[in-house]
Amino acid sequence: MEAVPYWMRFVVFLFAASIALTPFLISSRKIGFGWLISLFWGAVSLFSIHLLQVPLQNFLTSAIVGSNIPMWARTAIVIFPSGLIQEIAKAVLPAILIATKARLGTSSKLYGPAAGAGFGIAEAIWLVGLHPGAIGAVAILERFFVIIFHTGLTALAVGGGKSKRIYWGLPAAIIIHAGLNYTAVSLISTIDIWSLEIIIAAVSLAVWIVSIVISKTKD
Amino acid sequence: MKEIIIILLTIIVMIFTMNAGENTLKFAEDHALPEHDTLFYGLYDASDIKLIETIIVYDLTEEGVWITDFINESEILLDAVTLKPISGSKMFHNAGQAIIIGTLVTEDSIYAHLLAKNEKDAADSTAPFQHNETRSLPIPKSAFLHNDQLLYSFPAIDFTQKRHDFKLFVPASVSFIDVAAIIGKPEKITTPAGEFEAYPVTFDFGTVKQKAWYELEEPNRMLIYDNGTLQYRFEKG
Repeated sequence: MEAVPYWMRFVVFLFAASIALTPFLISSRKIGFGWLISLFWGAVSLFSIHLLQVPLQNFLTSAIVGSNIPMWARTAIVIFPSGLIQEIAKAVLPAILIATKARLGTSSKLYGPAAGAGFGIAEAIWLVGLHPGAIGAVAILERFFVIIFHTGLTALAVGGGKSKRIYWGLPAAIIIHAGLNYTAVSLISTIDIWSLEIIIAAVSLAVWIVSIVISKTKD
Repeated sequence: MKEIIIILLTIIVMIFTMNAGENTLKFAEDHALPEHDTLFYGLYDASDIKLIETIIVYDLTEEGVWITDFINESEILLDAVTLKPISGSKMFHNAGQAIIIGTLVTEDSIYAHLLAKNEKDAADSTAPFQHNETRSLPIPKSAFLHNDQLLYSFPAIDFTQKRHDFKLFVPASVSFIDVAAIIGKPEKITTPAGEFEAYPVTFDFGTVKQKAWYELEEPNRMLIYDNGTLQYRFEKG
């Protein structure tokens, strides 16, 4: 398979973010610039992986070495922080902006998806965008759907812009995120890559559609 | 929300109390690695098809014990008495690059020096290195093994001790990981070299387990190593 050129990778990432954000932008009465702050925050929150997630996963891995815990449970224990840390990190600023009613000319329903899209783009650039190796179309396609996944998840995490919904939205986002990662890790050696990518794409689109519906519903 | 916090706290407390992780690595007092030995292994895939052969060479010199693994393109020098790693190097290939990672162990630090060239330039000694970087870590207080010695130091381990906990230095990530090696009851196994009584050893890395079998009789040669994808099987020595 031929390598995807750098410029095309970035175009795909931006295209994915544009598609993911469009329904939220269309349904917002005010767009303003506040959502751009949230988008930037989402990108910056990628550092949570290095600062918190990986150290926590290393600690948990060390703690379970030599224990009687079955391998499926060990995998779940080590994967869970990926959902926990990333969803909390992405949602911190949007949740504060929503709770304090700091609108900055932007509809509150835009803060969550913008942070998710920022995180998704930054993660895609980090993992495959700048990778010097021969990155194929499958990896880029996967990132396309993962950007949509992150956008939908963070919209869900902050309850579509309604401050009280974070109490169930954030735990739901954490569980869905960790669940998809667990599924991918568990299936990677048992099914072919295209089947796995279809699962990732289907879950991503489902989460995104649900988050759009939630952002349109009233309390 | 309160219930979720209580569940999370319970899980964290359980994890903290699961494994004390004390360092228990112990080599047998009257044992040493072979002074000069050449061991031949066949490498088999999951379908039991032999892919290639490799040779492991032990060589005792004035510097210490050299262990060379030809298929892994690695060599390591160990202190002949303590079996602590002194230095080593390993080549691997990644993303179109040929990468050599050298390791040097001092009294208080372990250094990993990474050199990377374009794969097509790797054979040309005049071609510049694209990447040249040294990183270091403090030596842990507890005993540790180098990744390239792990399998080949085990013939010197105290097989009467059922569990060994130690840290493993992984040069590719310049990090230490925790390992528990659990020694099972001796069992009969068959390799291309014949039938042997062997100690099964499970290397527990947390989310991955690997298994090896070591000959019951001294010098406790490694007979099979199974990393889940490939198997080394002892052919002759």
